[in-house]
Amino acid sequence: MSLSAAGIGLDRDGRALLSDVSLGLERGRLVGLVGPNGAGKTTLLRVLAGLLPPTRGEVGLDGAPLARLPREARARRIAALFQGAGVGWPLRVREIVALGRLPHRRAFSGLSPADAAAIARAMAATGVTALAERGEPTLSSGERMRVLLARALAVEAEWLLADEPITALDPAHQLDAMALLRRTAREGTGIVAVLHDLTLAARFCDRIVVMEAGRIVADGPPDRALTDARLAATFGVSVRRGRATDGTAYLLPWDRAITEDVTDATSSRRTNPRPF
Amino acid sequence: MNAPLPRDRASARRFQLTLSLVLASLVLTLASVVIGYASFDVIAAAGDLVAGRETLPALVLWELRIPRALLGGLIGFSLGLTGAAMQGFLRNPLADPGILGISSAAALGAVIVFYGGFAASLSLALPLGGIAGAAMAALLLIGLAARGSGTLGLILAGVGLSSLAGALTALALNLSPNPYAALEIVFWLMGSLADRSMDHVLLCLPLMALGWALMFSTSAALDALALGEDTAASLGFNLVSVRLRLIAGAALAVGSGVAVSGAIGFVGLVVPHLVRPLVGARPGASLLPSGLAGAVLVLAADLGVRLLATRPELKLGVVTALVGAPFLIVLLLRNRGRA
Repeated sequence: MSLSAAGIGLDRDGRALLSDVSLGLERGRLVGLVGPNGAGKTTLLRVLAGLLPPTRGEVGLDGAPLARLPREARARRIAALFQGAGVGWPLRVREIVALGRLPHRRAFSGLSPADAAAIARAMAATGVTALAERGEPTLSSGERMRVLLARALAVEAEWLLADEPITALDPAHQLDAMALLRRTAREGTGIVAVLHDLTLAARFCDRIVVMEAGRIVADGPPDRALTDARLAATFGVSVRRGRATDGTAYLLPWDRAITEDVTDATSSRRTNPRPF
Repeated sequence: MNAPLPRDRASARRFQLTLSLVLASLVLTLASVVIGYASFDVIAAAGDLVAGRETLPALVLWELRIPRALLGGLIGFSLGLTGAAMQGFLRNPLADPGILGISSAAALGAVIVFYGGFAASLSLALPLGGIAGAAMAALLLIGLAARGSGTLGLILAGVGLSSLAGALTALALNLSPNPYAALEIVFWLMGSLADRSMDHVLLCLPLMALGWALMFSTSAALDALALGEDTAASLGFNLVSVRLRLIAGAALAVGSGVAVSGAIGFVGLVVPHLVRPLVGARPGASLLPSGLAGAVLVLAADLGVRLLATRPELKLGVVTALVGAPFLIVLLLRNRGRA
């Protein structure tokens, strides 16, 4: 039960978006994929989901090449959540969540009782059952995000690859969503989530993969992947660390990092942000 | 939570709407056969026709009335269905059946036949020219889509094709040897179902049926595309295949329709907006009702043309545009107010 990337490289217009990315994933774990903007996180997620063929290397699912798995079988085994496109039509919430069952349906047939049950489970897990008959345009962005998460959960796949699943949520719903992802992972799904909130990533994820400029630069449990040196080098931030009353360690990005080798360019950018 | 109930209610409503649209289009088809400029005994004509007696009424019925009614239904269905499919595909409520440039290319093909003077020598030359035009546009688009061009690339190619075909049509009008030829082309472009024959029906029916089947086959993919192309692909849909089926389907259905009738505007644009509040916003669910509503609309407009009986006869495309445009404006204003 593994999803793996071996020596993945991806070139676009002569520029390398991904270089030599190797990664082994197991089910039952919540993996946070972090890195600054443009590091290649979403690109890697699309490659792992089988939506983007890599230029070099291969993605494997349980040891077999993912590229050779039929589309429909792949869709039942790997669910993906992309929120950038939004919802194109004023669908009702239940209809949106039901789209997650499309990989399980035969042509021109309706929803089976198993489909209805999966839809109900996904809506209950994300707390959107009460919204079932609401139209998409009436949802807040947090509600919309939870509905899209429910859509992805409704696939009930072995793997869930989520691109920024908590970005539009308020703090309470971010905590709920991270707890839900961790719970879903505990129940056996393998989850990779692109995250920008390092505090939540460090607290909830079993494993953190740090990307920078198309490469993996750190990979391991949060305390080993997100060291002070790594955070300064990759994210350019220094953090405050502490322990909650229950003993859980936490970190908080606090300042721009002052590194030893501050060049003129970076120091001028720090004091005088480039407008764009 | 008794979750399944509302879904059942929605599908029951969809079924009721579909059924009433089927009945309405049957009634209008029948009315279109019965109502015409010359009043005559349809029952007797039908009797003659069935018995194989080649009387004048039987001839009028078989060669004029029935083809006109059938073409109204077929072309209306094609326009409504293609409009709904294009709007779902492009995630854009302002997409119409001609957005990929296929209608303009079909019109250009027919105009070239007009201009070359072939129309007089063979009654099917005009529609065949139109179909050839649509086919050329479709081949170009299919080539782009097969090479992996995305949806935006296809829209841009469609805009380019429409402009080019429009320019060449204008060129043909500009260079037309005499004003009557130009006038004839302009009138044809306005769209009409008058004086079409059973040959026209037999020419476009198989093409349209194939086009409809191709578009219906993308129904589930259109639903998935509501969440964007990445999500649709992650749900197991081959987007290249979906694009190819939609381009080919639209070309077959609308291309052959325009080739036979000229351009009948606004039906494909307006009909999905009429249907959506009744069947819900799911693109796949609006395909069949949109096709049926398109048939109802074109049949009704063509009846209106004959009942108004102006001289010269109002062109069908003019009537649908006159009714459709203000309606669309109202619809858009109302939707904006709601959002």
